[in-house]
Amino acid sequence: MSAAGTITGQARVLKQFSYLNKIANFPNSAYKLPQVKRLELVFKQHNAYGHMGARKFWLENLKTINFHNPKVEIDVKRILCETKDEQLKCPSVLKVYFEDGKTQQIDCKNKRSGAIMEELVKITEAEKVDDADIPVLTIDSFVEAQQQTKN
Amino acid sequence: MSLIRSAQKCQRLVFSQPQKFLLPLQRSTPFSTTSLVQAPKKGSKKAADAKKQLEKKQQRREARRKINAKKPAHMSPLFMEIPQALRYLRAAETGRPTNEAVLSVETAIFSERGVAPLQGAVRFPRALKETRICVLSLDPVQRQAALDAGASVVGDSKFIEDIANGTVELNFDKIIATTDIEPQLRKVARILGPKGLMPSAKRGTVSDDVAKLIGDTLGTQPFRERNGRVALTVARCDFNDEEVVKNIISTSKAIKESISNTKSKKPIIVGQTVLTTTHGPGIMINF
Repeated sequence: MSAAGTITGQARVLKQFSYLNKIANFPNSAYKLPQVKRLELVFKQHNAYGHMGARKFWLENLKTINFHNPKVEIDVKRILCETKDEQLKCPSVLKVYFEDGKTQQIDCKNKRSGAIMEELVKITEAEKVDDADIPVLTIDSFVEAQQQTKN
Repeated sequence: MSLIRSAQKCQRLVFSQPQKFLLPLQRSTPFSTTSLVQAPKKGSKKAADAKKQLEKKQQRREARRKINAKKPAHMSPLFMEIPQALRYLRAAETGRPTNEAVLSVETAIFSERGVAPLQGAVRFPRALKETRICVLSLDPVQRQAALDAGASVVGDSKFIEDIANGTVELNFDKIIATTDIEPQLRKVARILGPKGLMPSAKRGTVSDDVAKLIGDTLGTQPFRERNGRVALTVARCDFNDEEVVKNIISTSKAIKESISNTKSKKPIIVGQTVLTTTHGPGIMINF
């Protein structure tokens, strides 16, 4: 029996599942960072002059990193620059604080979020999370779980 | 019988006669007039039907919501245990400032029409923020007692003058006064009133037992039913799991207590409860 049509309000449920799955497993960002103590991301409030990559990195990849590394502190600072000169000067940087006290920086200007993620993985020697450890929510799995509890 | 038959015969006779033999009807009463009555406005039938159907649809939806409310929460596909839900919610709230990233609980309440809306206050095991209470009294013993109970600032009539001059920063959540100082407060009513800080006996902020009053109000959060729901902020995302769960349990207890205090003929049903954050998804929990 297919699971379709067994749940009322299915569209709402599917939307929620896709949202939650995106948090748990954004493409290419489910990594464990055992050596990292703290991450600090600094960028401008406006997108212009190469700051969009950092914003996307925060909204998409950092959520998944937080999901798999709850102990890593994550700070995001957005700077409001009013004049153009300030906007051009403002850095877009990801600072990585390691457990042993070292720090390293990734320049995020004019980079895409995927590129920032790759660089972070390279610097921190991150380990990929097993597929078995990533929860995936689907309607099929929900229906199965319901039937198991009934039995 | 025979009488009826003969009457029928007569009728037949009358109608079979040519019209010129019929006499015109004579009116025994004079004519009367009534005021003008307008015919009812004819809306299109379609619109009326649509309205009826909409009403029916709403009724059906309400009935379905009520049935769903009685189902246990773990039957819902959006249900999660609280620790797992918190893992998702904290991730959704990554990199937000701590005062912005707050967890809140929303509970559906089903009550009959005309029942007073639920209201009450929760005392959280871990408060969201410190409540600043100012105590005004002429009696130094009372002031000392207030400081011991947890008031942040105490003052006497000189303090009231400072308020009137605008030299004091009014960053309090509540001002409590004793009965002896109350008459002096009238001159600052215009300053305190609009901010909702003015002490009054009606609101329960004028009392001679200051220490007890402070103990009651410290760390409590009021809640109120609106549009069939009770929603309130329960915790911050940087609290640990245990603190969040304890706060949720105390909220649940407070809501159930206020239900038992409310008068209603039919029992008030607590529906499904959703745990959510400022920017995150809503996840159903056991409540």
